Amino acid sequence: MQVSGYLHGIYPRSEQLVKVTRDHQRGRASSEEREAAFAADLAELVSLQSSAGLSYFSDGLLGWLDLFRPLAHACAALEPAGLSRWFDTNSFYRVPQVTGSDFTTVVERAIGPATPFPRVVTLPGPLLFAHACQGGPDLVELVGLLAKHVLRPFALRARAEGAALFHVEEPWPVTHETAPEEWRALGDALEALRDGLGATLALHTSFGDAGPVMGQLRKLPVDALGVDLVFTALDDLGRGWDVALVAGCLDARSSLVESVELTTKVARLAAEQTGAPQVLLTTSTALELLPQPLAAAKVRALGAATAQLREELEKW
Amino acid sequence: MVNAARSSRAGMKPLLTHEIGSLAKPTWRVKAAAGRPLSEAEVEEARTWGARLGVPGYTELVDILGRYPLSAEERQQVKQWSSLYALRFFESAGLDVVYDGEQQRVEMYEWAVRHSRGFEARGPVRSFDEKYYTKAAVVGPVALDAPYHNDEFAFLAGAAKATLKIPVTGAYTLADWSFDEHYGPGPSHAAADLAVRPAERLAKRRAGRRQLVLDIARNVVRPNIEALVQLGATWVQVDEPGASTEADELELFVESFNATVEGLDAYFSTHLCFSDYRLFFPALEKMTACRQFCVGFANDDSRDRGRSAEQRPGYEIISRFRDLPYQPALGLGVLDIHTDFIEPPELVADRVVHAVEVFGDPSRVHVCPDCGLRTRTWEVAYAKLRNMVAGVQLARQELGI
Repeated sequence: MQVSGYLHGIYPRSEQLVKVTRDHQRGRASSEEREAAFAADLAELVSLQSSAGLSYFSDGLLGWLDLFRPLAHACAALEPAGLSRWFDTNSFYRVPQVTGSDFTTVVERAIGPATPFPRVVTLPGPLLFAHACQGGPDLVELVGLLAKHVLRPFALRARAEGAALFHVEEPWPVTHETAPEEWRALGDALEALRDGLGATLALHTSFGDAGPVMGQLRKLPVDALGVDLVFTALDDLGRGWDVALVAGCLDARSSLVESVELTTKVARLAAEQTGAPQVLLTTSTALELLPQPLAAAKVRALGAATAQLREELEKW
Repeated sequence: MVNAARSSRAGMKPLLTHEIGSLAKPTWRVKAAAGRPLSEAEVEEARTWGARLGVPGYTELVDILGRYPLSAEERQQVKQWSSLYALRFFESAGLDVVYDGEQQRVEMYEWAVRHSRGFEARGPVRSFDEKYYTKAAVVGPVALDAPYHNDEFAFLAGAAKATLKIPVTGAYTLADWSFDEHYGPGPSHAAADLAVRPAERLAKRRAGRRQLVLDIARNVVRPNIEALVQLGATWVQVDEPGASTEADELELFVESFNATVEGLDAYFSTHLCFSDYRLFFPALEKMTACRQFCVGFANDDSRDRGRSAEQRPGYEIISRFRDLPYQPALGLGVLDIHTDFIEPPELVADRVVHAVEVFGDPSRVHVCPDCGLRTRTWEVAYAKLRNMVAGVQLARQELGI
């Protein structure tokens, strides 16, 4: 069994970068100082992932202010508007307001240029994205428009920049009642996103229990399916998986750093339960909800657990 | 013995106007307090606003700011001047009820946590955009170290012309914005074992969290408020921006509010913002000690004119507040604090008249910004507040109040 580990989503900024961006806003730091601070954070994050032995490299989306913002800026039909709470956290995103019908999206750059290969890229799930938007066409149509005209151009650009793994963060169906037509729209959207992409497409469900909708999730056209093991019981994962398992096995919202042994055990039990051909270890959701030193500790634990599980399964 | 008139504030004027809490700290205050030298322009800013707001004796501040380095005593004086400026800022904007924009505090969460036992700072976490707060972890039993608003309140009580309303961060928010390393999973990680069924793990977490929230209510926030009431505070606003974070804990939020204020002799209100307010019902039906809810709505409303329900989509929920059996007032958020858009008085009037029509009673409608204005410049915040007061005046005229 192949075992990999990776980091996804927005990674927290260092105290220094927080300070410099604040100073820049107040006219106390130059644009060059701001850029240098971003570059320093990215270099540190790359070094962290490398020393932790992770299998893919993320740029940590350090410049993203929420999971929709750069996409909303890049799409002619969207505009970031009022604030809305990001699930049950004290973090807020700007609601993408649909202001027109031209969804043309121009992506100049998808991945931080100093990110080593192979690269992992995070995208918001199509259903999550559509529900987060305000205005515009009905939901099912919007899911399709966002997948085809916003997410896919971004994914193609990222692929051209060397993305090998696409992590699609899709908490919606495990946190909200999802109608049959929404499931169909999600399936169609993922199909459109995956078509000819030539990279691994992973759909990760965070913030909720995937158990009750595992049947629907396993029908989706993806290469890997992710679960948040803070909320999902191991024995609800089902058996006989034919796609890879993304095991969200470190709690990205807790300041307590899990032991490597515990994390390895949980990932191994999930792998055994599902019989998945491949296991990808990651955090339950993005680490942006932690201060950076704690996030770094989780990344180190993630890398160590990945290595330990790999060793255990090789012996096994 | 609770004074009924005081705790109900019978006779409050209809469409009473007030602020919510925070206001940006002027650069001269930030730099002087940090011991950094000021530029000519920053000193001039203090002079200009001092004259504009009619701050008595403001040239004394200008003299202090012209010195470098400042002594510890002078730095403390600068903070008090900032407090006085903010007080006059709100008063001269025409508000009926005011405070000092929290000029003497670090930040609404960190200030409370710094003055309490059982917390340890962990580092910055983003709230939104480029805004961060220093998140702490609860590492032991929580308790009040020393009352942490007494000094600012005593200072402001001696300086205010308008009525004072003191914003105090609520227990649920303090708990929700902290990591819990003591009451819930504990340091052993045993309860964090993801191999244990989530239902069992999450039940342990929930029980720990309940104890944490109620301990903060009883042992931190309540004694802090008791000290304020003893000093003469008559209106305390319990800020709970985190109240609806966990949809299944609304009853815990209500329980914590009641535990915080029950039996105390003052007018108690709460501030809620940027939430799906539908979640609060029916839990708020039991929050009987709360005499006013000030709630942000403009963030979700249209900027177009109009008074019908369709034209005021951000205010759809207000009838639920109207129908609460204990008939609290509603502090109607009419200013979007996240944009520099200056709401015209006519738009404010539309929002207010719509609310009065829904409530059928102007005495139950108060008017305020959606939240604290700390993310706006003073220029923008002042223009917004002036227009809010002008809009209320228009509404009063139209309603014959």
